[in-house]
Amino acid sequence: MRILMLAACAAVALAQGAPLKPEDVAAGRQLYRNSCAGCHGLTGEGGRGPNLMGGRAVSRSSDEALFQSLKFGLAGTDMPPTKLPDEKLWQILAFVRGLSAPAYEIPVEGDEKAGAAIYFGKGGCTRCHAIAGRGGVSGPDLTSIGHQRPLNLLREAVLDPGKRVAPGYQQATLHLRSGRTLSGVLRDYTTYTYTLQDDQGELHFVKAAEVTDSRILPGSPMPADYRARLTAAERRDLVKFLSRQSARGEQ
Amino acid sequence: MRLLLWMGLVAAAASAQVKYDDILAGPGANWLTYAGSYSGQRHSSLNQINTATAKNLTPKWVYHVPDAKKLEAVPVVYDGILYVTNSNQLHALDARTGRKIWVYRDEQAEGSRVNRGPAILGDKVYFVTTDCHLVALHRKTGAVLWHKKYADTKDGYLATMAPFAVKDKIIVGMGGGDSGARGFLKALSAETGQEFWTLWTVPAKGEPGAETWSKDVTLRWGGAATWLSGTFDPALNLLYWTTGNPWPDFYGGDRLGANLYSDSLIAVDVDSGKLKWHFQFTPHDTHDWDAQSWPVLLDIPWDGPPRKVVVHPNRNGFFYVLDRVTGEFLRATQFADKVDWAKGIDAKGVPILNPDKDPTPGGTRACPAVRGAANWMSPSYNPATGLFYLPTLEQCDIYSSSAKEPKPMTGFAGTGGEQIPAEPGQMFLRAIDPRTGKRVWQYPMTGPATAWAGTVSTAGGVVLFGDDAGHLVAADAKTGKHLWHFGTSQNITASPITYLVDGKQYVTICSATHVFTFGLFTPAE
Repeated sequence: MRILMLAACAAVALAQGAPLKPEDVAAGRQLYRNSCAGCHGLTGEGGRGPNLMGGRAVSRSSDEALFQSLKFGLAGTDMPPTKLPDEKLWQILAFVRGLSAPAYEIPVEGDEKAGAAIYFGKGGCTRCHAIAGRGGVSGPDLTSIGHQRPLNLLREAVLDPGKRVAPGYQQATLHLRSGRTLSGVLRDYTTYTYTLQDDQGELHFVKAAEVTDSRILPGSPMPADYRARLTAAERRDLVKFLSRQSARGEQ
Repeated sequence: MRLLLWMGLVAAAASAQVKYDDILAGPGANWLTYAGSYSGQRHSSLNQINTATAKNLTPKWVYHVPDAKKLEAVPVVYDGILYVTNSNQLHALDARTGRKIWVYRDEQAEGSRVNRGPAILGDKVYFVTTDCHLVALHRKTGAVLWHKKYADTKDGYLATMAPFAVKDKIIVGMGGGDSGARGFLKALSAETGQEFWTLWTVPAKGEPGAETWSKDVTLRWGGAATWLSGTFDPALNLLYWTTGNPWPDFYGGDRLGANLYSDSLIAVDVDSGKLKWHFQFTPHDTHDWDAQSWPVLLDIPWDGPPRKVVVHPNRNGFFYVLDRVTGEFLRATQFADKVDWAKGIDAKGVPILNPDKDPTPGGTRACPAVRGAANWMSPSYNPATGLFYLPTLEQCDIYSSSAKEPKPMTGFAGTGGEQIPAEPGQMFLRAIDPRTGKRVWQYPMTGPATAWAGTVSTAGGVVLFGDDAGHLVAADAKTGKHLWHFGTSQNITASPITYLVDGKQYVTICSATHVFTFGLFTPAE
């Protein structure tokens, strides 16, 4: 037992001595795919093993406890021990942490400045999304998005936006009894009322009885072709830029 | 086409603006600032809910605030949208239905604390985080426009107040005085958050007032916190703000002197941040009697013609009237029955102390209680009845002290006040005539004496208030006669507001975990 403790202490010291870099997370992702994804899923969504994205198993465990689980396995479960060297285990740990930790808190590959140029330029992101008041209103505000999403979900939102639609941002068109037509995002709707925000940001509170026809788009209105529109490097830089967005900045 | 689009944008933007003049106009359809108006009267011009109709009040909607444990917020309402805060959260609701429009959560803020509400100006809605960030959000989308850190938790600061929007400024204060944090008021730009001025409520060494502190450590860590919002006279351009107790709260041996500007009312020029005058209610306080109950601005006859006065019910049990132009003391009358720390207030406004009422290591019985005969729960004033509606606590405590080396930011308060088990407190709503200081009627409450609930007055001749058993109550403003009540089953720690949407008057109050909204009964459509 004492030997185990010593091993763990040495590993912590190693991790503390050499802070993890974006390359470590990337290396960790590769190692994870080879050794962990079989049970925990390719994106950490879980399977035979627990979910590592939103589950509490990871977010409530200390680095030391997670390292111990990785190295020695978990008695009474299917989690096996491993012979991988400690530095590789720390890389896996860095990647696994990033599955649930806010993107802002982990090292992320890419060029933030180049990402900003894409965000405000060819990416066309400002048409729908605002950062610090700059940009449109029909998509979620991104001023603090680095703190609100883990990295994998940021990446998914750029590459596969249809996978989840942010609540309150479904596109809709309402035809009213008065002959008026309203289009925008549905901030809220029930059997009795609709709250629609048009792309000027104006809010419309409409009783269901006033609506003759409603069209609610099932998916996300966000373009799904960023894989084609941006190069791999550009996508990486854009995600890096998003991961650094913090309303509080470096305070 | 482009021009049309551009004009459309401008029109949309123009309709979205809450103007300083709108706040100046006082509460009618909207409720735009913590006390409804700059005068702090919490009196609404609405009269659909009146002495004849109040019996028909009925719940319209209830909104559960996730994570809420003790809501103390007073919402603001503009153009049919109600904004309410919880710790590090701001919720925007459809005021007709209580349906959520958007929510902003600051996940990075430190810890969890009560929050007393938002402010609104232009296209922005503002609130403070636990760790002293002023946050500006777009009022329609909830998008973050900026965060401004205006004080550091490392210096003992925290924030719970409703920011105060006036002219082109947002005025913010601080909490943390019970740990010694040095009080201040700051004016920040409503547009950008940039700082215009800071006024310290404890002078620096060498400045006038510093001689009222006997030791450097307590002068540096004097407290005098500014944790409640204030009031404002636009003609005089003066802010009226109250300050908290000196630190250490219950042991005065390390801060001999009056301890300026603790437990005071300060009048501050809103543009320059300069102190125009001050009046200290409780010099050298050793009972933790912050002056944080509302300074209400009235123009009332005083020995003949109307006079611009500020009235203030203090935690120490006396109801003060001051000239709000000069700060001249006019009169103080005892509004609580249980007051024994002072025999009265002399002609200059100085308390005539009773001996042996200071806290001691063995404990001293003194009245009022540490919570005060009044506190931050909002009173109101109805110009038609000429009455001031004041939630009052009748209670005494045992106050004890310890002469320990004062160490700031360690939770040391010099000990404290404790309720006497055999002497439970009781709460009342009292109607006081500010011209005479006399009690006209009172509404006794049942309950554990733990409510922190305020009042709102309306032109319908009704005063609405939270009672000590968790009810929202409507009473006749002239007589105090009960008209209606509704039980929330929770201790109420907030003040009600009233507003109009789609031509219908509503009343809203927060319970510990929910926002309750009432209106007059109408059959289902």
